[in-house]
Amino acid sequence: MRRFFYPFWHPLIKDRTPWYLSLGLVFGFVVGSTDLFTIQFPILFLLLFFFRMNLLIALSSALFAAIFVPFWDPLLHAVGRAVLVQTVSLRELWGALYHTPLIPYTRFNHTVVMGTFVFQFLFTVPALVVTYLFFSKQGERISRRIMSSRIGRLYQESPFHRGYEHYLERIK
Amino acid sequence: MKYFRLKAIPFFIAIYGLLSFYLFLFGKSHFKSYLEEYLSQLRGGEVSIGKLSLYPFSRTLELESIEVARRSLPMKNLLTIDKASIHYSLGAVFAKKLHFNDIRLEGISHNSNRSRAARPILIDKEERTVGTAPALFDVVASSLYNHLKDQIRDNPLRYINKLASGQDISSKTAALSKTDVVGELQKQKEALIEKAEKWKSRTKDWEKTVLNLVSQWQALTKDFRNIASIPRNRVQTLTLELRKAQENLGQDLGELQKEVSDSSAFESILESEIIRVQKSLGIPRESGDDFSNLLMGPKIIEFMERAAFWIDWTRNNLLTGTPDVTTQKRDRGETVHFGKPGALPNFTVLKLNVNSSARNKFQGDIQATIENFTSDPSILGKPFRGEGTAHFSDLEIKDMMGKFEIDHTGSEQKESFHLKLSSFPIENWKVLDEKGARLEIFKALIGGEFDLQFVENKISGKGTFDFSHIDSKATSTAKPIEEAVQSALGATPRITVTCELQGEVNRPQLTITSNFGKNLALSLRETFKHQIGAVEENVKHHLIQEYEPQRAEIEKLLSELHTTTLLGLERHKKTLEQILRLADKFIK
Repeated sequence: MRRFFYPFWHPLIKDRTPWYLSLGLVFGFVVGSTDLFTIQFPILFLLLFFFRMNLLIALSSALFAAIFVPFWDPLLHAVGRAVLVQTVSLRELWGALYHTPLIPYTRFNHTVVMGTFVFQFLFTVPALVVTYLFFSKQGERISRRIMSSRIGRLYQESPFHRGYEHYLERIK
Repeated sequence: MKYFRLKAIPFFIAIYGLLSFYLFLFGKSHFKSYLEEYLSQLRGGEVSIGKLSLYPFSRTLELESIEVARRSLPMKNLLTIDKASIHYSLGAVFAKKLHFNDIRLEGISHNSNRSRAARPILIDKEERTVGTAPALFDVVASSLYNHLKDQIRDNPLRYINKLASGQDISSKTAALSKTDVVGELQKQKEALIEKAEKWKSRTKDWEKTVLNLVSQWQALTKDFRNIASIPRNRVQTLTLELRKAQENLGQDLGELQKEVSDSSAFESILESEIIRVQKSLGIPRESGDDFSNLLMGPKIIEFMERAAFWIDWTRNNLLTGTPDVTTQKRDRGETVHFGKPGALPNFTVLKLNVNSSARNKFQGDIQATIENFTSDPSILGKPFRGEGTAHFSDLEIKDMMGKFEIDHTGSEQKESFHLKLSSFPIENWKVLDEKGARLEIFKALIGGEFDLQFVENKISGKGTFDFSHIDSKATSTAKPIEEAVQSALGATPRITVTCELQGEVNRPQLTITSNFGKNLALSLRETFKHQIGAVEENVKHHLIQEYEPQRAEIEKLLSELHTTTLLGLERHKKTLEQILRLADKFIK
């Protein structure tokens, strides 16, 4: 029965370099914070699996964002409103986009969606850099600490992990 | 380092393929369920769709067997539409807009039977604030609603109940009679004293003016013994002054005469005061206006509430005008809409045709056309209009004709509605449901005409309705009231109601009159003639007692004004006229 899960478990955790970890964390957060009923969500979801990154981190990050980003709605709404309504110089641009085919399906004219997009635009690249540096410097140390912790030892001694090790040897 | 996971591609092709296949098989049923639920919430009653077909290549959506259930009768349909063909614009869909070029409805039925009982719909009462200004109709509905509610709250029947039960209301009569009349008369007297002073000083001024003009004329004619030698220009100058003085004096005289006649209208003042007290006591008047409000008001309020709901819905979902930016509150945050001249409106129905011919007893002959229904009228540039006729002979709905036009394309907003029908059945109408009396119309046929116009902030409307073939019942805890209502019903086999609406949108004046209201008032006055007579005598007695001393003083003031001021001014006017005649004779 456990053997059935190994082909699904392996792609989730196999990419463990600092770049894959940081990309997974940041990109997952972007996907999770994107509104579900927009045209960009399925595209981003597809890209989550198309680009090589640590899928376990990416999906966990997406889940975390989906749960906790809505608590930031008032801030996102204020930022979105400032960009859409109060910035008069951009109105012509928004007006042109509003009446262009397909663009309205991005729901860019919704204040929370726009606020989320502004934060994604501003913080994605810096977050990538910071997390990459963090994982490259501290990744090994954190991995050792997790594996030497009680949960890590329990996992390593579990039949699931032993079976997974056999699976890895087989596919090599 | 590898950047792409190519092995995922076939996996996702499979996933999206399965999803597309699922949508292909079941997408229509999901869409149908969504549409049914949305329309049911909108209506507040079940709306079901028999079959939904989508033809993407011909850009047509077809709905068949649409049933709109009646809220009060779960086994009956308010409306059934056999087939609805909707031709939409695909380009508009890409821009997230709904643009229907043509909608056709066929086979309309009313009051047909359902195969199963309609399920009750729990309305989602989520409160939405609107980013647009209130619509005209909504403001009028609110004003009328409050106006009528106040009138109905002040129910005349509650006092008749007291008379019927033999309660003595003479102390209330005395209190009401004292309250306002003395104060009013006091004010009138003080105003008259002030006016008298003012007129005295003006009369003195006129005396000086006239004396001056007379002496100028005398000086002219005295210096030049031979009239022919008097210079024409000097006479013309004097003549102009005389004419101007005559005109101004004439105006002053008219003003004073009016003030005197207004103040001396004692009988009409007393009459209006008696009516005021009678109204406060709920004594029915012969015109029956208050009963017309009581009887017809609740139905009008119900109509206004329904109209206000639909107006509110359009304000929440369809924008008006072409503002630069408007916002609509949503679950999370706000949606911002950007207006752009020349762009396609968010929602448009260019033409809707209804074509139905009677094939069974529930179906009717209906021909109707609606054009240019849009969320942005100023972008489309055409007024929203419609007209239609309907005839359901088996259901006694005959010759119904409606016409409307809503023009928000220009700077001046105009709306007009017209409805005419020769027959429409109504059932189970609780006309009156008070503690003192109940009147229910089980069945009747209504016919009439109604016209309503809005131009910017002004509203005007007129309606006349006839109720015939009336099957009704009246009951009351007081037997005399029951008999009086039955007698009024007997005297009115055909009830005619006239409504008239005029004025500004914020303060519309609604007048409802009906022959039944009048007959009811007369019938109640006849039934309680002794009690009402006693009350009316009581009212008159109290008013006259309070009024007489004030009246004597006011009459004295008016007499002084008449003899010293009014007559004086008339004398001066005659003097001026004599001199003008001489001057005119000379000029000729």
